Amino acid sequence: MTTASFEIKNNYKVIVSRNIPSEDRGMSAQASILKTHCVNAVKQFTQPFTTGQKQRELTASIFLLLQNIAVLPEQNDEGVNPPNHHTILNALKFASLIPSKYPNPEIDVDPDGEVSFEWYIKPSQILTASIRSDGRIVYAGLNDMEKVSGKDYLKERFPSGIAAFLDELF
Amino acid sequence: LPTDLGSDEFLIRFVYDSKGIRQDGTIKPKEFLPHPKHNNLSVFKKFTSDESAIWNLSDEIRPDGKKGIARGEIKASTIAKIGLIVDFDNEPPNHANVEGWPPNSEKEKQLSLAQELALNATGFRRS
Repeated sequence: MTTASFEIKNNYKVIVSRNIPSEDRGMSAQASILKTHCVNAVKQFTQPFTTGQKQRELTASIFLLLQNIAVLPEQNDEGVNPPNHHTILNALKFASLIPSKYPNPEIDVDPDGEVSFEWYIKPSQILTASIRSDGRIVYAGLNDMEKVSGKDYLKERFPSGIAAFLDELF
Repeated sequence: LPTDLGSDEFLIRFVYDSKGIRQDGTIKPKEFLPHPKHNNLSVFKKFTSDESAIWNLSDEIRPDGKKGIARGEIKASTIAKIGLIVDFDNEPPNHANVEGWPPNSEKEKQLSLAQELALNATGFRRS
């Protein structure tokens, strides 16, 4: 089993453990994918686009996802794919755009490999946004009797449709 | 609904991911999203009230040996009210597919339906 660990320091330095097998020792396809995820995510992560404790927690959640990806087969028996590194990078950028006035969402992976961000109060008050490798964002929400859904693309600002619904929820 | 599935019968969606059930015991909507390739949701008719038999089924249906850690139960009639279709194929026994999902290109609509299913489902954690 391939494993990797990430340590997130207060100064945002990311340490990737060295127990990822090297190509010289016969890297598996799974480990190779993981290494690509790590290298690309660390490059992006070390750019100064985040500040504050909430951003640190969000980014840590995404790195935790990376750790989980390390133990996923490339495609499991359910035909579910793990996210690729473009999706991870987009998730990091999306996380950096979330206004600090909202609580941090829970981050997870959808069956199709998109990274999801879930703001949850109770089952009837929820908003989920999923981001894809090409930057497409889809979202859906419930606020008791009200339902919303829509799509947008990752830009330099937090999507207004999602913000408007979160303003209602929180 | 199929004639061999009563409207008051419950359908079970098994959960294998520890993040699929929240601390408050509710099942997350992502557990009700359709399979990305087949665009359907695999469920089972609640064929017994025997808990151990239900959990045994959750284990038997996974070729990778994963064990079910939770399940969501939802009435068959509720699925129909939401606008989805239950195809009771009984293969394997008691199996059904929830169909009628929007295409993958309209994932926001899939998410919305999954949220409604989760809202109407009762979560059970394996003890």
